[in-house]
Amino acid sequence: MDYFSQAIAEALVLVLSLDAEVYTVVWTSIYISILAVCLAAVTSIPLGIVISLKSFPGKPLLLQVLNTLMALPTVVVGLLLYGLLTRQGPLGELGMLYTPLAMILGQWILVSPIICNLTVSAVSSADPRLHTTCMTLGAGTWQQGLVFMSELRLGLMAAVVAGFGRAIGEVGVAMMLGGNIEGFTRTMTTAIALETSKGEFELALALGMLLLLVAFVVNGFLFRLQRKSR
Amino acid sequence: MTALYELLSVQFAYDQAMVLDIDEFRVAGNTITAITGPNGCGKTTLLNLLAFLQLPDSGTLNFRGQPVNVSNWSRLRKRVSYVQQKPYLLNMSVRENVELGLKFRNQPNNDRRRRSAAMLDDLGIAHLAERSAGELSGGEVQKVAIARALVLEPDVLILDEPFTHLDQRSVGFFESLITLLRDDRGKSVVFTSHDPIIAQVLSDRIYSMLNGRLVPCAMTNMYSGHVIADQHLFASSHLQIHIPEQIQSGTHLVIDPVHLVLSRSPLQSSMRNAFQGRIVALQEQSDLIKVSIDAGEHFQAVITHEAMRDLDIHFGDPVWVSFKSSAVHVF
Repeated sequence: MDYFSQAIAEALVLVLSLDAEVYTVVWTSIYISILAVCLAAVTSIPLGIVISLKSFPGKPLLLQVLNTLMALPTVVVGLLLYGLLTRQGPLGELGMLYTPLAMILGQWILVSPIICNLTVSAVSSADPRLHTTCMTLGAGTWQQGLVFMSELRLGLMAAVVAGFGRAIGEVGVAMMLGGNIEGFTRTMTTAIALETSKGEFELALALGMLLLLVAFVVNGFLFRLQRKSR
Repeated sequence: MTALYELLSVQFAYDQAMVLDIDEFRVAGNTITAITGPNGCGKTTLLNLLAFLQLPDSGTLNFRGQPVNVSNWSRLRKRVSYVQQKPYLLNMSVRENVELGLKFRNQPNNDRRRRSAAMLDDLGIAHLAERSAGELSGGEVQKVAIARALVLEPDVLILDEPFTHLDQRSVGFFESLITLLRDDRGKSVVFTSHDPIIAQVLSDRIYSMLNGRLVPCAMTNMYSGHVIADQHLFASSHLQIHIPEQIQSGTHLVIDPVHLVLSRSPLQSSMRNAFQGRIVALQEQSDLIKVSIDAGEHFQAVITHEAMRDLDIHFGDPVWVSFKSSAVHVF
């Protein structure tokens, strides 16, 4: 118990001392996850709205696949992209492996099904009169999409929050595609794994605390935004 | 003259259950058309077709002589405005709601402002302009939805049960508005109402709907029974009613209430149907009196205040109900 409480105390000192190494790791995590989630939101929200509003053959199957992809293991995404991006792989010439770009790509794939699926749920649970109202007022497809985004902003924000939670907390993609390079691709989760294995439990714990804090602050910000737009 | 709408042999089904089966239905331009009928009879589905939100499964739907299909229905949709029974206002201000259709039509910002302000003013709800839509009462929502529809200056205004959420004063206002749209603006109005009297008073043509089928009259006096073809009679449970000679079959008979003539004694006239009964209810409605008579079957007639004074009728009085055989519809 002494060991654990002592580690917590030392972790707190590290957090409060604004250690540069720690905060570089935190910043890397944040910007990679934010960019991946933004990319996923831009692509998956419109896709989710279209999937929900349109009828087409194979729609139930697509929804089932999307549901399954929500539970996509991060290491599987990491493994598949590693195969594509490694020097011998088909996209190896791009030299993306072990870069933040590869991590963003991986997290985008990981987060997209979550945002897409939750968008489909939000649109499906919307008042059916909304669609009719848009049509009777003469809205085109894009205009309808924008109206849906505006009307369902609370549900869509929840989808983005869930996606961010998934991105910031994942370790498989960050480790396999980022390579845990200090000051470049080292994120909070990969650093926690590394420091723990090295026996630097205090540093790992400090990063764990900051990870929770980041998740808390981001959720708090989005929660305020939701209340404001209600 | 080309009809505004023309529906020929139109059928529409939901999950293989037939909800519309219309042989022929025409709406002339610059008219008010009312459709009455019980809940679930297909009225809203018909309005969805007229607003080009759905296309018939089979048959022809023409608008100003032009067949409506997937290639032109989104363009035609911009020429009609449809106000749903429970209108949906978006989570924004009243003014923004009214401007929405204009925004979809890429109207400039200042034009949108000017037209929405004028429309809100015309409908007496300018004070609501900056209120959030979520704060409005049912009647106010209805008025804003009508403003949102009218600001688009459509050829046709389609209203699904427009008077449901309005108080008596507002009903009067919107009755005048609908008439004004036809008389001064040359617009056409199609509306549904569960109240055949309001429908009768306001409209140029009234249709009743039952199980997806349209009958070109109000369905206030409707009786089940069968046709006795060789005697040109329709036998209901309690009466035998003279019908036109060409009618050979049918299980329902309806008589438009405006075609019923009331008198204190039997009339010497060409009307072949005359039944004696007793007044069982008198009800004032939209400047008219609805008179209910029990003459074996229950009849409802509509008379003016002046006619009521002339007839000097009161609750419980005996009275004769007469109507021509040509005033009945059998289907």
